[in-house]
Amino acid sequence: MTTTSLLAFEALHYRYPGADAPALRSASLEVRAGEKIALMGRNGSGKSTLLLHGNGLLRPQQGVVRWQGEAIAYTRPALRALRSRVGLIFQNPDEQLFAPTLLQDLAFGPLNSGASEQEARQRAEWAAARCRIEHLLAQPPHALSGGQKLCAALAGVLAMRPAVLLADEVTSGLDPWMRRNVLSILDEHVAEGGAVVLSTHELDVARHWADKIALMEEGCVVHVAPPREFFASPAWRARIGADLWLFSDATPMHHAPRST
Amino acid sequence: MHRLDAYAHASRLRHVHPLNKFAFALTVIALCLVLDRPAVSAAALLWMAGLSLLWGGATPGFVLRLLAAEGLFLALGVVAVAVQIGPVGQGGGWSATVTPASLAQAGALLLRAFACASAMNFLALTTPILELAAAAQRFRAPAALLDVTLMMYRSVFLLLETLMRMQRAQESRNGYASWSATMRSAAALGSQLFAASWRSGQRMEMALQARGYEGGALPMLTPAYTLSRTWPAVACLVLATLLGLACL
Repeated sequence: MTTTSLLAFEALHYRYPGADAPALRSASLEVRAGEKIALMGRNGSGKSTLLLHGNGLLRPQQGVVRWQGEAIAYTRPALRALRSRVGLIFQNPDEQLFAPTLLQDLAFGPLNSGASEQEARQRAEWAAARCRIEHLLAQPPHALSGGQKLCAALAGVLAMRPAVLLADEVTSGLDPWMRRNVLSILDEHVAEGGAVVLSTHELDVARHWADKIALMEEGCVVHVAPPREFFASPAWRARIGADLWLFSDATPMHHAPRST
Repeated sequence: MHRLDAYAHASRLRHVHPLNKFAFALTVIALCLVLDRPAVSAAALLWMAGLSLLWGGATPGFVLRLLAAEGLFLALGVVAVAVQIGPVGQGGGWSATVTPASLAQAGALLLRAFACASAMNFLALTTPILELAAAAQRFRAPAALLDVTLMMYRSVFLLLETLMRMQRAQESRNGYASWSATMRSAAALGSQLFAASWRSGQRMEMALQARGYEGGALPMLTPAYTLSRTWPAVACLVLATLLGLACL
């Protein structure tokens, strides 16, 4: 089944000012409707930089970012449209939440996109319900727990009704229950025709949640394939760090090899 | 600060428009100052503390701690009124004297200051500060000023959390084990906190842009407040009590 191409990164090249090496070198990735992509790679491999390009926060020095086949123009109206379609969730929710109350924070994105106050309020309430935090709407962000803050950050982006969600290591540091909650919210988004790119170091998330794994090495997406292909091949397993896994899914903990 | 903010957000009087509460607190303060009667001050103190506790929802322990902290500061201020220092005779010596009149004057002043502080506590315990700032837009306060207040308010909490984390990390490595280590750690903490807040500010700006912010005033929902008959009735009762006591 062929699905619509939503977001495409084509041969992106980006070097941060003052950096010796480029953060991205000819990085390409296509995101289609209904896809769940785990973006993997070592620290510093360019995952976050690639995601920042998807939302138009960084402009590639070479290469093109396309939305449904059309190159992004980087004008104010084009960026406004892009940010309504491609939502970016940051790793640290504290840096995303700023408003006096959660309701006001969730309404911030829709208001920026030109929604009326009533519509923004409705969207904020819908997003809060989707993320199971509707009981916290009157709370200030600093009164929330870490997991609640993450759900709030996710809801703040969902309230903009984006088609593609780019999530930067949002499941790291969460307890298993909260992680399952976040992944189920992402699943619901995909089930409604959206797509998710989740940058992660968690091998079990990549293996069991994602449809595809995109591996980045030194600023380049070197391989995109279903998880079974990565985990079946010793070479690819090694390149995503799965050979360093202490416990495989099938191995009970008391049979696991002892670390030295 | 965290608890004060938490009480303000959870207050049962939060639905009342912030400007109504602000005007009420200001009127109580004005009456205490203008009427200058200990009975009025005492009544205002009891009313304000009572409203904060019974209607606002703050706990007695917290209200008492707030008043104790303010009381300490105010008591230090009225010492100069209670104790009169002056030269003794021709010999050039000095003496400190306390008279019943000066004590009564200091007591009345302390009571009045307490009453005013209690009115401010009532406002702080029932109204989130940012809602008050947002309501100030009615008086044509510049939008940029309100945005700066909003961001600074949020940053204060983030900075406090960062400060606590850094301090714990230093302490766990004996960063405060001696006087010299304390000085070194405190200096490092100050400089690192500045750098951390700068980086955090940059990332927050990026996150705002990611949700479509293009500069200018931060768009915010207008908070919804409800009209109640109880609030004006209670406010009028409090003010009538104070005026009535002044007439006695």
